[in-house]
Amino acid sequence: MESAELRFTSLYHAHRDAIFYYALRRTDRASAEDVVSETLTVAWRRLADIPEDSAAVKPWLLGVARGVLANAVRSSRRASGLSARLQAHEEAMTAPDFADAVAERQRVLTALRKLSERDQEALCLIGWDELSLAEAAIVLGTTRQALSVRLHRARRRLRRVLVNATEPGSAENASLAGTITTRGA
Amino acid sequence: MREDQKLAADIRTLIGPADPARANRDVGAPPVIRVAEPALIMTGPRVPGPPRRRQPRRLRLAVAAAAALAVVAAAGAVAAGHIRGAAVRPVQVTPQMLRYVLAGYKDPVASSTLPPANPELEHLAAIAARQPQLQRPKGAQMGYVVTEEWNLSVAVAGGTSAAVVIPQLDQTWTSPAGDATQKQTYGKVQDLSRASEPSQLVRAAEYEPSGTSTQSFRTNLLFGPLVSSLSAQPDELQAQLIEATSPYGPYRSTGWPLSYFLIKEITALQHQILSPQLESAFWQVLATRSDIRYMGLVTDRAGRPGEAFGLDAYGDERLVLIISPTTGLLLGEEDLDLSNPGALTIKSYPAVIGAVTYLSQGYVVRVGK
Repeated sequence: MESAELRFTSLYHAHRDAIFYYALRRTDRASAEDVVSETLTVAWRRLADIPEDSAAVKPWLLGVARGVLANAVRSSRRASGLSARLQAHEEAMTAPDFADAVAERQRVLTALRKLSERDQEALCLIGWDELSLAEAAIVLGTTRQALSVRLHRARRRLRRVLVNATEPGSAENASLAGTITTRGA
Repeated sequence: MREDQKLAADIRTLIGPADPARANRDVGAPPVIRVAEPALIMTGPRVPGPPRRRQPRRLRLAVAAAAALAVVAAAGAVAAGHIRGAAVRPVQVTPQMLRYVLAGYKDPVASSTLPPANPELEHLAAIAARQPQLQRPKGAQMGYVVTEEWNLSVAVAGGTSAAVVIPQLDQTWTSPAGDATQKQTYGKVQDLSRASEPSQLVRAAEYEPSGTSTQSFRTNLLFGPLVSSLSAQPDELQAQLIEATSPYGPYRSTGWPLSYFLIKEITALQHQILSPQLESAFWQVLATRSDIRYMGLVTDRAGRPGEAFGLDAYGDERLVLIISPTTGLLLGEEDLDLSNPGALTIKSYPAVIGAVTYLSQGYVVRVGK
């Protein structure tokens, strides 16, 4: 096997699951699989552009996956962006007998949805995809410093929303109390 | 650095429990993912190129097995040109290419030496700027745009290929506040190739054969920033378009052509109601791009006369814009494959693999009205 093929095969096995989980957090499973295929195909086509530094490979791939996902969303005209994805999760968890953990998850998802798309994406890259700030900055095409500022602000906004949601009588709390319904209901 | 780590840890504590993939990850075993094996992906060429603009609605890669069934949407840059170990008979028929007429060029589609587009784009920009504002009936605040669209899909099964087209009518409503609703109506699947086993191959395409779907979302999710926030000054507008594109595509880090992203953003914005000044500014922005070329006169898929402009992306894809010579409005887009990038099993190139036709626009009182 040639070195390019060895490198790609190694990269494939090392990062395939991370790409899948990244996509799965933002779209449905079938589309997530498509994103993995497309991202890895782009990786093969552009193998020479992938950083030699092994620590930079995953952010590079997630950056491509991000673009692929956005293109897929736009082109298929499906609202499977992060907000819609979060909404779908939120709506899927409205059964009354769910445990406290589910209620907490719903509370966080509801709060996240109140932030801008960019704030959501920055927080999720750190909180869900478990990237470092430097890695997430590569994915977002920004600097670590700029991302750090954004994250501090986003965290503050998120906390504010979460606090408001738990105050008795708040609009957020009212929505959590049962006005969220299944899509189409 | 410790501050960064503390920030990251705090964010993980805050939102980690809500991770949608947590349940999958907590299983402990590797996920079962239906994607191509490395060997299949590596049958494709290693050439630079942007991701294709349109994606299939249900794209599946076959596992690398001779008997496997592969469904490949033509617009997907996917390495499934042939299934490993089994040659695939290529698709014989693809949708009809529009006829582009340009003096001195026998076939503008096949030509890689087309003239620059600047003079014609600037001329069309001037025409667009002279158009009257779209009339807004009293009480009608909702923008309404109707488009017709299709993408070619190629299905591969048992060594045979078939080409199918699924026409789609899109009705899009956008509010001044940035809410969008889109209703898609799917037409009947058209099997262009009339293969020996058409029913199997059409089924393989995994497209819903007909029906409608309606989705609501924020306008900026699919159709760019609100047009009311955009400048009609070309320099400022270009900066805004680049800014609007940046969350969606890593062009800065990959070196893909900026014109590709500008065109993509401009076409996305066409789902909102544009002022004549903004439409004019779009063409002025594109007129500054030397890689956009003039393809001549054409009659679009709705039978309207148009002028065509093409952008080649790394030699294997051409985006075509068709603009009305009388109004300066965008009439349509065509997506052409110029050569076999290893993703398709089409016999002859160039081939048209997708089209969008802008049919009508106006203001309405509410969604559905």
